[in-house]
Amino acid sequence: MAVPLFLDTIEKTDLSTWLRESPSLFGFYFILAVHTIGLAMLVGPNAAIDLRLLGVGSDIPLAPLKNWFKIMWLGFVLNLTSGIFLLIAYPTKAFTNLDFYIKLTLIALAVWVMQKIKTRVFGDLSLSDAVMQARGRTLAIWSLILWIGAITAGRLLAYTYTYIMYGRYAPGG
Amino acid sequence: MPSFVHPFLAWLADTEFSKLMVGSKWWWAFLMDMHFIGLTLLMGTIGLLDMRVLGFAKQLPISPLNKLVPWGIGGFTINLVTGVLAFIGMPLFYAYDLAFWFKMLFIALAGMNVGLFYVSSAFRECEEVGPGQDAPALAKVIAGASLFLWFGVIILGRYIQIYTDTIDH
Repeated sequence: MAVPLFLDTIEKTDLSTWLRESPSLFGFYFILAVHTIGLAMLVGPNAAIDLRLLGVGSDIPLAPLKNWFKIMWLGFVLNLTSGIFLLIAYPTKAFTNLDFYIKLTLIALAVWVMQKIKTRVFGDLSLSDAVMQARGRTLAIWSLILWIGAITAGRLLAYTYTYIMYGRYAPGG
Repeated sequence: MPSFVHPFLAWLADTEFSKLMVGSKWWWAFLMDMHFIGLTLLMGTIGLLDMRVLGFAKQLPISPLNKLVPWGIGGFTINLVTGVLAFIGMPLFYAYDLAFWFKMLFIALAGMNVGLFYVSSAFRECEEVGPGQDAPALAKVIAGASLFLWFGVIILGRYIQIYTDTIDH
């Protein structure tokens, strides 16, 4: 399948070129750093809540953990934003890699499960912790599986791409 | 760098074990994947505790959050192991990189900060902090430092690639 020309168009924009080539400390690697901070803010607390729902620290009251969804969503917004910048920098590299679509699918599913946990477990804070925990158990297992999958798919982007840029194959690929 | 360092690093890079680390890109990808999963586990558990000490989600009593700490230590251990293996795989890449050594400095400071938390009165006083109550000031300073240092470790880790060869051989 031919690589769509608009990817080349994006790569030729000033922003895309700057992101790839700027020696500024606030260029490409800054965006990557933000993307990793967003990961820590989104998946970190979600994993902690999952562990709690699976019985770790069962004397931690569940209701106050609902506050953490705000931070998780902030992490999501950081990563959506930084992710768009990473895409602008290397659109061909991402869009021609099947793994990129797997990553997006896993994130969509993981965020969907996260919202399911918010409504099913934290939707009625008058429930007892035992009932909330029972409601969240299966969701917590799926959440952990999907996030591990999403992180793995994300990491693999660095090792599975065919093109580094439009018309340019990966080094050694 | 002291003069004995480079021969040691060059010897290390030439060992069979070092070559094993970088021999397969899938093994390397696995190490990096585990490094990110460990990071998430560490930040999720320790970050949650730090934020509570600072006053976020204040209805949580602090003491039961200690049950999350072993999971944070588990995340750190995963990253210590995968990090050491990565260094063994590419010693000449990491050792001459300024961002790498700043990352190591931040990890050491974060370790000392944890030590301070348990050695000082902070840990003991936090054990008594119930729902809605404020943690003592010292504990808040330590929790703030913890967040600053661990986020710093993440950022410095990401800058390793652009600081390659910033230290003279």
